[in-house]
Amino acid sequence: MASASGKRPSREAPQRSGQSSGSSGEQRKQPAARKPPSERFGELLILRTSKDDGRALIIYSHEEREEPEEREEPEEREESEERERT
Amino acid sequence: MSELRFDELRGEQVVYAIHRQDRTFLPSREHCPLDPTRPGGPPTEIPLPAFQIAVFDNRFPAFEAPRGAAEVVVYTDRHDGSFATLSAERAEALMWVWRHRYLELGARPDVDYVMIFENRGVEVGVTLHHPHGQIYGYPFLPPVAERELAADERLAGCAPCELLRRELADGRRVIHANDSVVAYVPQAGRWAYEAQVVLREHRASLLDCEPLELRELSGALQALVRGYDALFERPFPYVMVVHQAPTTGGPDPDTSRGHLHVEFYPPLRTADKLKYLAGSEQGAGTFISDTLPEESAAALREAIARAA
Repeated sequence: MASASGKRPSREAPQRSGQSSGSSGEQRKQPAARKPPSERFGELLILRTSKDDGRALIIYSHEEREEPEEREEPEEREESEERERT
Repeated sequence: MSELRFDELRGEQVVYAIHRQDRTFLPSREHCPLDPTRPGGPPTEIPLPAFQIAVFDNRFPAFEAPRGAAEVVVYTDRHDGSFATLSAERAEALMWVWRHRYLELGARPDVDYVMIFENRGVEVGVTLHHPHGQIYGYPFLPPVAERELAADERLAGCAPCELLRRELADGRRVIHANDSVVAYVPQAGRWAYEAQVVLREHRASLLDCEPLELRELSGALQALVRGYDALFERPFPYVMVVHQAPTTGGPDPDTSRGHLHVEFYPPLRTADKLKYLAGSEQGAGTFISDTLPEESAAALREAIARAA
Protein backbone atom coordinates (compact mmCIF):
# COMPACT_ATOMS: atom_id res chain seq x y z
CA MET A 1 0.00 0.00 0.00
CA ALA A 2 1.39 3.38 -0.92
CA SER A 3 1.49 6.35 1.37
CA ALA A 4 -0.05 9.69 0.46
CA SER A 5 3.26 10.77 -1.01
CA GLY A 6 3.35 7.72 -3.19
CA LYS A 7 6.15 6.29 -1.12
CA ARG A 8 6.27 2.94 0.51
CA PRO A 9 4.78 3.06 4.02
CA SER A 10 7.07 2.62 6.98
CA ARG A 11 7.02 -1.03 7.86
CA GLU A 12 8.98 -0.54 11.03
CA ALA A 13 8.45 2.89 12.44
CA PRO A 14 10.89 3.96 15.15
CA GLN A 15 9.40 3.70 18.62
CA ARG A 16 9.28 6.71 20.84
CA SER A 17 10.59 6.38 24.34
CA GLY A 18 8.28 4.37 26.52
CA GLN A 19 6.52 2.63 23.65
CA SER A 20 6.91 -0.95 22.66
CA SER A 21 6.72 -2.25 19.14
CA GLY A 22 5.28 -5.64 19.76
CA SER A 23 8.24 -7.45 18.26
CA SER A 24 11.05 -9.05 20.17
CA GLY A 25 14.04 -6.88 20.86
CA GLU A 26 12.04 -3.69 20.67
CA GLN A 27 9.99 -4.02 23.84
CA ARG A 28 12.30 -2.63 26.48
CA LYS A 29 10.64 0.42 27.97
CA GLN A 30 12.52 3.62 28.51
CA PRO A 31 11.90 5.79 31.53
CA ALA A 32 8.97 8.07 30.74
CA ALA A 33 9.69 11.81 30.65
CA ARG A 34 13.45 11.36 30.35
CA LYS A 35 15.03 14.04 28.17
CA PRO A 36 16.21 14.34 25.52
CA PRO A 37 13.65 12.00 23.93
CA SER A 38 15.01 8.80 22.54
CA GLU A 39 13.62 6.20 20.20
CA ARG A 40 14.15 2.50 19.89
CA PHE A 41 14.64 0.72 16.62
CA GLY A 42 15.25 -2.98 16.87
CA GLU A 43 18.30 -3.34 19.05
CA LEU A 44 19.24 0.32 18.84
CA LEU A 45 18.65 3.31 21.03
CA ILE A 46 18.39 6.43 18.89
CA LEU A 47 19.09 9.97 19.99
CA ARG A 48 18.32 12.73 17.51
CA THR A 49 19.98 16.09 17.74
CA SER A 50 21.40 18.68 15.40
CA LYS A 51 24.67 20.44 14.92
CA ASP A 52 25.30 24.15 15.34
CA ASP A 53 24.83 24.73 11.63
CA GLY A 54 21.49 22.91 11.64
CA ARG A 55 22.61 19.66 10.09
CA ALA A 56 21.00 16.55 11.56
CA LEU A 57 23.03 14.34 13.87
CA ILE A 58 21.79 10.95 15.05
CA ILE A 59 23.57 8.94 17.71
CA TYR A 60 22.91 5.19 17.75
CA SER A 61 23.69 3.12 20.82
CA HIS A 62 23.60 -0.62 21.23
CA GLU A 63 24.21 -2.71 24.29
CA GLU A 64 27.39 -4.53 23.58
CA ARG A 65 28.91 -7.50 25.31
CA GLU A 66 32.13 -6.85 27.15
CA GLU A 67 34.90 -7.71 24.75
CA PRO A 68 37.65 -5.72 23.08
CA GLU A 69 36.16 -3.53 20.40
CA GLU A 70 39.07 -3.84 18.08
CA ARG A 71 41.24 -6.76 17.09
CA GLU A 72 44.72 -5.69 18.02
CA GLU A 73 46.85 -7.25 15.32
CA PRO A 74 45.14 -5.84 12.21
CA GLU A 75 44.84 -2.44 13.81
CA GLU A 76 48.51 -2.26 14.67
CA ARG A 77 49.46 -3.54 11.27
CA GLU A 78 47.26 -1.02 9.49
CA GLU A 79 48.49 1.84 11.60
CA SER A 80 52.11 1.10 10.89
CA GLU A 81 51.49 0.69 7.19
CA GLU A 82 49.50 3.90 7.01
CA ARG A 83 52.50 5.66 8.50
CA GLU A 84 54.75 4.11 5.92
CA ARG A 85 52.51 5.23 3.08
CA THR A 86 52.19 8.79 4.29
CA MET B 1 23.18 22.75 -4.11
CA SER B 2 24.29 20.24 -6.71
CA GLU B 3 23.20 20.47 -10.32
CA LEU B 4 22.02 17.51 -12.38
CA ARG B 5 22.66 17.39 -16.09
CA PHE B 6 21.57 14.59 -18.36
CA ASP B 7 24.14 13.18 -20.77
CA GLU B 8 22.00 12.35 -23.78
CA LEU B 9 24.74 10.39 -25.51
CA ARG B 10 25.26 7.99 -22.61
CA GLY B 11 21.71 8.27 -21.33
CA GLU B 12 22.72 9.00 -17.76
CA GLN B 13 22.75 11.74 -15.15
CA VAL B 14 25.90 13.61 -14.15
CA VAL B 15 25.99 15.38 -10.78
CA TYR B 16 27.88 18.64 -10.42
CA ALA B 17 28.71 19.24 -6.75
CA ILE B 18 31.36 21.90 -7.09
CA HIS B 19 31.32 22.77 -3.38
CA ARG B 20 32.89 19.35 -2.73
CA GLN B 21 36.12 20.63 -4.26
CA ASP B 22 36.88 22.22 -0.87
CA ARG B 23 36.07 19.21 1.31
CA THR B 24 38.41 18.11 4.08
CA PHE B 25 41.29 16.15 2.57
CA LEU B 26 43.42 13.76 4.62
CA PRO B 27 43.64 15.89 7.78
CA SER B 28 46.23 15.13 10.45
CA ARG B 29 45.22 12.62 13.07
CA GLU B 30 44.78 15.45 15.60
CA HIS B 31 42.24 17.18 13.37
CA CYS B 32 40.10 14.24 12.32
CA PRO B 33 36.53 15.59 12.00
CA LEU B 34 35.06 12.16 12.76
CA ASP B 35 36.68 11.80 16.17
CA PRO B 36 34.59 12.63 19.24
CA THR B 37 34.95 16.15 20.62
CA ARG B 38 37.17 15.70 23.64
CA PRO B 39 37.36 18.21 26.50
CA GLY B 40 39.90 20.85 25.56
CA GLY B 41 40.26 19.46 22.07
CA PRO B 42 39.18 20.91 18.76
CA PRO B 43 35.48 20.66 17.89
CA THR B 44 34.63 17.87 15.49
CA GLU B 45 31.53 16.77 13.59
CA ILE B 46 30.34 14.90 16.69
CA PRO B 47 30.03 17.24 19.71
CA LEU B 48 30.22 14.43 22.25
CA PRO B 49 33.16 12.98 24.19
CA ALA B 50 32.20 9.44 23.24
CA PHE B 51 29.71 7.62 21.02
CA GLN B 52 29.07 4.26 19.41
CA ILE B 53 27.70 4.96 15.92
CA ALA B 54 26.95 8.46 14.60
CA VAL B 55 25.12 9.53 11.46
CA PHE B 56 25.02 13.10 10.22
CA ASP B 57 24.31 15.11 7.11
CA ASN B 58 27.42 15.40 4.97
CA ARG B 59 28.96 18.86 5.22
CA PHE B 60 29.86 18.61 1.54
CA PRO B 61 26.84 16.82 0.11
CA ALA B 62 26.53 15.47 -3.39
CA PHE B 63 22.77 15.47 -2.76
CA GLU B 64 20.64 17.34 -0.25
CA ALA B 65 16.96 18.00 0.39
CA PRO B 66 14.74 18.62 -1.46
CA ARG B 67 16.65 16.64 -4.07
CA GLY B 68 18.15 13.69 -2.26
CA ALA B 69 20.40 13.14 0.72
CA ALA B 70 24.02 12.53 1.65
CA GLU B 71 24.91 11.19 5.07
CA VAL B 72 28.06 10.09 6.85
CA VAL B 73 28.01 6.98 9.06
CA VAL B 74 30.80 6.86 11.65
CA TYR B 75 31.30 3.27 12.84
CA THR B 76 33.14 4.01 16.08
CA ASP B 77 34.65 6.85 18.08
CA ARG B 78 38.05 5.19 17.80
CA HIS B 79 40.16 6.76 15.11
CA ASP B 80 42.13 3.66 14.21
CA GLY B 81 40.92 0.39 12.82
CA SER B 82 38.41 -0.44 10.12
CA PHE B 83 35.15 -2.24 9.52
CA ALA B 84 37.18 -5.45 9.80
CA THR B 85 38.37 -4.66 13.31
CA LEU B 86 35.01 -3.67 14.80
CA SER B 87 33.62 -6.03 17.41
CA ALA B 88 31.00 -8.46 16.12
CA GLU B 89 28.37 -6.62 18.17
CA ARG B 90 29.27 -3.24 16.66
CA ALA B 91 29.21 -4.64 13.15
CA GLU B 92 25.79 -6.15 13.81
CA ALA B 93 24.56 -2.85 15.22
CA LEU B 94 25.74 -1.20 12.02
CA MET B 95 23.37 -3.46 10.05
CA TRP B 96 20.51 -2.06 12.16
CA VAL B 97 21.70 1.48 11.54
CA TRP B 98 21.79 0.81 7.80
CA ARG B 99 18.28 -0.61 8.03
CA HIS B 100 17.04 2.44 9.89
CA ARG B 101 18.60 4.84 7.40
CA TYR B 102 17.13 2.87 4.46
CA LEU B 103 13.73 3.09 6.12
CA GLU B 104 13.88 6.82 6.80
CA LEU B 105 15.57 7.99 3.61
CA GLY B 106 13.58 5.59 1.43
CA ALA B 107 10.32 7.04 2.76
CA ARG B 108 11.24 10.51 1.55
CA PRO B 109 9.52 11.60 -1.66
CA ASP B 110 12.76 13.04 -3.03
CA VAL B 111 14.75 9.81 -2.63
CA ASP B 112 14.33 7.15 -5.29
CA TYR B 113 17.32 5.01 -4.40
CA VAL B 114 19.21 4.59 -1.12
CA MET B 115 22.82 3.56 -1.57
CA ILE B 116 24.87 2.65 1.49
CA PHE B 117 28.57 2.40 0.78
CA GLU B 118 32.09 2.59 2.08
CA ASN B 119 35.23 3.71 0.31
CA ARG B 120 38.27 2.25 2.00
CA GLY B 121 41.82 3.34 1.26
CA VAL B 122 43.46 6.24 -0.49
CA GLU B 123 43.52 4.07 -3.61
CA VAL B 124 39.77 4.61 -4.00
CA GLY B 125 39.82 8.24 -2.99
CA VAL B 126 39.31 8.15 0.76
CA THR B 127 39.81 11.57 2.30
CA LEU B 128 39.33 10.58 5.97
CA HIS B 129 40.89 7.48 7.54
CA HIS B 130 38.53 7.25 10.53
CA PRO B 131 36.32 4.13 10.05
CA HIS B 132 33.18 5.35 8.34
CA GLY B 133 30.83 4.89 5.43
CA GLN B 134 28.36 7.03 3.57
CA ILE B 135 24.79 6.98 2.33
CA TYR B 136 23.49 8.68 -0.77
CA GLY B 137 19.80 9.15 -1.33
CA TYR B 138 19.54 9.57 -5.09
CA PRO B 139 16.69 11.69 -6.42
CA PHE B 140 16.60 9.38 -9.45
CA LEU B 141 17.20 5.71 -10.19
CA PRO B 142 20.92 5.39 -11.02
CA PRO B 143 22.14 3.27 -13.96
CA VAL B 144 23.42 0.28 -11.98
CA ALA B 145 20.10 -0.10 -10.20
CA GLU B 146 18.33 0.17 -13.55
CA ARG B 147 20.54 -2.56 -15.00
CA GLU B 148 19.80 -4.84 -12.06
CA LEU B 149 16.08 -4.45 -12.72
CA ALA B 150 16.74 -5.14 -16.41
CA ALA B 151 18.57 -8.33 -15.37
CA ASP B 152 15.42 -9.42 -13.54
CA GLU B 153 13.51 -8.98 -16.78
CA ARG B 154 16.15 -10.83 -18.79
CA LEU B 155 16.21 -13.79 -16.40
CA ALA B 156 12.44 -13.73 -15.93
CA GLY B 157 12.69 -13.47 -12.16
CA CYS B 158 14.98 -12.25 -9.43
CA ALA B 159 18.45 -12.15 -11.01
CA PRO B 160 20.44 -12.37 -7.74
CA CYS B 161 18.35 -15.39 -6.70
CA GLU B 162 19.13 -17.11 -9.99
CA LEU B 163 22.81 -16.15 -9.96
CA LEU B 164 23.17 -17.39 -6.38
CA ARG B 165 21.62 -20.70 -7.41
CA ARG B 166 24.16 -20.99 -10.23
CA GLU B 167 27.10 -20.11 -7.99
CA LEU B 168 26.07 -22.67 -5.37
CA ALA B 169 25.62 -25.33 -8.06
CA ASP B 170 29.07 -24.60 -9.49
CA GLY B 171 30.79 -24.01 -6.17
CA ARG B 172 34.20 -23.00 -7.50
CA ARG B 173 33.79 -19.31 -6.76
CA VAL B 174 32.10 -19.55 -3.35
CA ILE B 175 34.44 -18.11 -0.73
CA HIS B 176 32.36 -18.03 2.45
CA ALA B 177 28.92 -19.12 3.58
CA ASN B 178 26.72 -19.36 6.65
CA ASP B 179 23.05 -20.26 7.14
CA SER B 180 21.80 -16.89 5.87
CA VAL B 181 24.43 -15.55 3.50
CA VAL B 182 26.77 -16.70 0.72
CA ALA B 183 29.85 -14.82 -0.51
CA TYR B 184 31.37 -15.49 -3.89
CA VAL B 185 33.52 -14.02 -6.61
CA PRO B 186 30.98 -13.49 -9.40
CA GLN B 187 31.34 -15.57 -12.54
CA ALA B 188 31.85 -12.40 -14.59
CA GLY B 189 33.49 -10.24 -11.94
CA ARG B 190 35.23 -7.21 -13.37
CA TRP B 191 37.74 -6.52 -10.59
CA ALA B 192 40.37 -9.14 -9.74
CA TYR B 193 39.03 -9.73 -6.24
CA GLU B 194 35.47 -8.56 -6.69
CA ALA B 195 33.03 -10.27 -4.36
CA GLN B 196 29.33 -10.35 -3.69
CA VAL B 197 27.68 -11.21 -0.38
CA VAL B 198 24.12 -12.36 -1.04
CA LEU B 199 21.20 -13.28 1.20
CA ARG B 200 20.14 -16.88 0.59
CA GLU B 201 16.46 -15.97 0.89
CA HIS B 202 14.88 -13.37 -1.33
CA ARG B 203 15.08 -10.17 0.69
CA ALA B 204 14.42 -6.96 -1.19
CA SER B 205 16.08 -4.87 1.47
CA LEU B 206 17.43 -4.84 4.98
CA LEU B 207 13.87 -4.15 6.15
CA ASP B 208 12.88 -7.66 5.14
CA CYS B 209 15.64 -9.42 7.05
CA GLU B 210 15.20 -11.38 10.24
CA PRO B 211 17.51 -10.35 13.11
CA LEU B 212 19.54 -13.53 12.66
CA GLU B 213 20.06 -12.69 8.99
CA LEU B 214 21.40 -9.26 9.92
CA ARG B 215 23.78 -10.87 12.38
CA GLU B 216 24.99 -13.38 9.81
CA LEU B 217 25.28 -10.72 7.14
CA SER B 218 27.56 -8.67 9.37
CA GLY B 219 29.56 -11.79 10.19
CA ALA B 220 30.04 -12.62 6.52
CA LEU B 221 31.02 -9.05 5.65
CA GLN B 222 33.62 -9.02 8.41
CA ALA B 223 34.94 -12.43 7.39
CA LEU B 224 35.39 -11.16 3.86
CA VAL B 225 37.13 -7.89 4.72
CA ARG B 226 39.42 -9.66 7.18
CA GLY B 227 40.23 -12.10 4.40
CA TYR B 228 40.95 -9.17 2.10
CA ASP B 229 43.42 -7.77 4.63
CA ALA B 230 45.03 -11.20 4.97
CA LEU B 231 45.28 -11.76 1.21
CA PHE B 232 48.32 -9.57 0.65
CA GLU B 233 49.00 -8.91 4.34
CA ARG B 234 48.22 -5.24 3.96
CA PRO B 235 45.16 -3.01 4.42
CA PHE B 236 43.08 -3.89 1.40
CA PRO B 237 41.36 -1.01 -0.39
CA TYR B 238 37.84 -1.51 -1.63
CA VAL B 239 34.54 0.10 -2.46
CA MET B 240 31.70 -1.66 -0.66
CA VAL B 241 28.13 -1.01 -1.84
CA VAL B 242 24.87 -2.30 -0.41
CA HIS B 243 22.38 -3.03 -3.20
CA GLN B 244 18.70 -2.96 -2.23
CA ALA B 245 15.30 -2.38 -3.77
CA PRO B 246 14.71 1.08 -5.22
CA THR B 247 12.49 3.33 -3.14
CA THR B 248 10.91 5.04 -6.09
CA GLY B 249 7.39 6.14 -5.31
CA GLY B 250 4.31 5.25 -7.27
CA PRO B 251 0.81 3.95 -6.84
CA ASP B 252 2.02 0.41 -6.27
CA PRO B 253 5.67 0.20 -5.25
CA ASP B 254 6.91 -3.27 -6.11
CA THR B 255 9.22 -4.20 -3.27
CA SER B 256 9.95 -7.58 -4.82
CA ARG B 257 12.14 -5.75 -7.32
CA GLY B 258 15.62 -5.97 -5.90
CA HIS B 259 17.54 -8.45 -3.81
CA LEU B 260 19.70 -7.32 -0.90
CA HIS B 261 23.34 -8.01 -1.56
CA VAL B 262 26.64 -6.30 -0.91
CA GLU B 263 29.20 -5.85 -3.66
CA PHE B 264 32.91 -5.20 -3.20
CA TYR B 265 35.02 -3.57 -5.90
CA PRO B 266 38.69 -3.76 -4.84
CA PRO B 267 41.13 -1.97 -7.16
CA LEU B 268 44.19 -4.15 -6.40
CA ARG B 269 45.07 -6.86 -8.92
CA THR B 270 48.26 -7.82 -7.07
CA ALA B 271 49.75 -6.78 -3.74
CA ASP B 272 51.16 -3.62 -5.27
CA LYS B 273 49.44 -3.12 -8.60
CA LEU B 274 46.18 -1.29 -9.21
CA LYS B 275 43.63 -1.96 -11.90
CA TYR B 276 43.02 1.29 -13.77
CA LEU B 277 39.95 2.14 -15.75
CA ALA B 278 41.55 2.93 -19.07
CA GLY B 279 40.65 2.87 -22.76
CA SER B 280 38.38 -0.14 -23.00
CA GLU B 281 36.75 0.34 -19.62
CA GLN B 282 36.05 4.05 -20.13
CA GLY B 283 35.67 4.28 -23.86
CA ALA B 284 33.79 1.07 -24.53
CA GLY B 285 32.42 0.22 -21.10
CA THR B 286 34.07 -3.20 -21.34
CA PHE B 287 36.29 -4.43 -18.53
CA ILE B 288 39.41 -6.38 -19.41
CA SER B 289 40.63 -8.45 -16.46
CA ASP B 290 44.04 -10.01 -15.87
CA THR B 291 42.73 -12.69 -13.53
CA LEU B 292 40.18 -15.48 -13.58
CA PRO B 293 37.43 -15.38 -10.95
CA GLU B 294 37.99 -19.05 -10.11
CA GLU B 295 41.65 -18.41 -9.24
CA SER B 296 40.83 -15.26 -7.27
CA ALA B 297 38.18 -17.19 -5.36
CA ALA B 298 40.67 -19.91 -4.38
CA ALA B 299 43.09 -17.30 -3.06
CA LEU B 300 40.35 -15.45 -1.20
CA ARG B 301 38.97 -18.64 0.34
CA GLU B 302 42.38 -19.44 1.72
CA ALA B 303 42.86 -15.87 2.99
CA ILE B 304 39.46 -15.85 4.72
CA ALA B 305 40.27 -19.14 6.41
CA ARG B 306 43.66 -17.81 7.49
CA ALA B 307 42.10 -14.65 8.95
CA ALA B 308 39.32 -16.46 10.84
